[in-house]
Amino acid sequence: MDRRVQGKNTRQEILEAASQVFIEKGYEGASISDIACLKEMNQSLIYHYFDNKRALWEHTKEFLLKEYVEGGIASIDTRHGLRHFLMNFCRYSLEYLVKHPGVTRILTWQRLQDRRNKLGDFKLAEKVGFEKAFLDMQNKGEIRQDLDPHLVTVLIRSFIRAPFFDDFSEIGKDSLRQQLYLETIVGCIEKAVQP
Amino acid sequence: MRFKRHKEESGKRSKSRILRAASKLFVENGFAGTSLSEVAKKIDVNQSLIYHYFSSKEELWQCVKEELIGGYFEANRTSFEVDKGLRYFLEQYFHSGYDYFCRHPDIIRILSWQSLEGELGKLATLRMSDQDMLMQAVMSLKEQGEIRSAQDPFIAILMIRNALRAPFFDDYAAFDQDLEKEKKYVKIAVDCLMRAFAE
Repeated sequence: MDRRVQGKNTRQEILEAASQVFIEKGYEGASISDIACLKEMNQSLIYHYFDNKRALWEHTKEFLLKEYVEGGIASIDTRHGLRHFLMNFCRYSLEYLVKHPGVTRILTWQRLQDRRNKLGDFKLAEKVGFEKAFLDMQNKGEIRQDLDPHLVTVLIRSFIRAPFFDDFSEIGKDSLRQQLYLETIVGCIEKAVQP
Repeated sequence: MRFKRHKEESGKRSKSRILRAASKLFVENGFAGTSLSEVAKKIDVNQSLIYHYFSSKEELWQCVKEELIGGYFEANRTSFEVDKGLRYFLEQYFHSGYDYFCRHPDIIRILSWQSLEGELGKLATLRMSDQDMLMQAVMSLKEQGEIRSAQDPFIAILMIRNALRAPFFDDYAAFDQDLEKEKKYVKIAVDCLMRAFAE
């Protein structure tokens, strides 16, 4: 096999193992040897690709969230009116979080274990660009002018995150409830932000 | 007799010292990240003393959570006034809740730790529940026609509760104790929820 292809596969394999271990145990609870164990590889192989645990954590986050960011960007569409814009984005985000419960956990681990900001930035949402799109819609007059885009984004995120971060919710497990939930929050947000 | 009373009191004191030390460590490092030997070391006692009062680390964790979250429960037991309409209710709920979370960052951490255990199962038995209080309020506001009748009450509650929690549980908010921003957020949240639920 081409050595470069093989190298890429190894890196991928390490990242997959690291995702699994970090999701389960968080940053502090995980060790390089746990990760090596999972794929029955030598620890030194991991160090060949990543300088240390901290670097591996960063790359694992990127690896896990790359798909989310790309899909998020693709889900934003401001050309077909407010409802379409909200529906697309909320549906994508909800479906993604249902499919990838590990993402919820990684976000929580990071918040709990990163009191000194050494685990790196988490500028995911900024990368997806919802806030900017919101501003666009405001400029087009489809959203009322008196709303601060950042603060409303925080609010909309809270509705999207609720079924996954709130231990009182069973919505994450029930697809009929999910559909109702999606339609309800989109309807509510639409009423809340339209001029 | 005197001796016995003295012993009881010092027993109470040791128990509460253990709880306090455990609380600090659990809040900082979570359940898995804390060991009983660390708790013992922190207050300079023998680990066996902990087992005298708590049968296991799980029990100690439950007690710590109950102490922390029980306070929230107490603070929210006073039901909110709902006769003055949806806006008044939301304003009360947000102002008191916001203030509470600001003063008790430990609660936020312990709830987050708990959510990480959720999938591992049995440790997450304690729910921070203002659920009953919110349900009562939402039902009553529906009866008054303040919240439209088609609105699913469970979803309404989920939205209200998480709108309040967002600044504390979502890093994206990044208000950094900026009072102006906090005030503006509460205003926008109340205003948006009003419009969302109104007939």
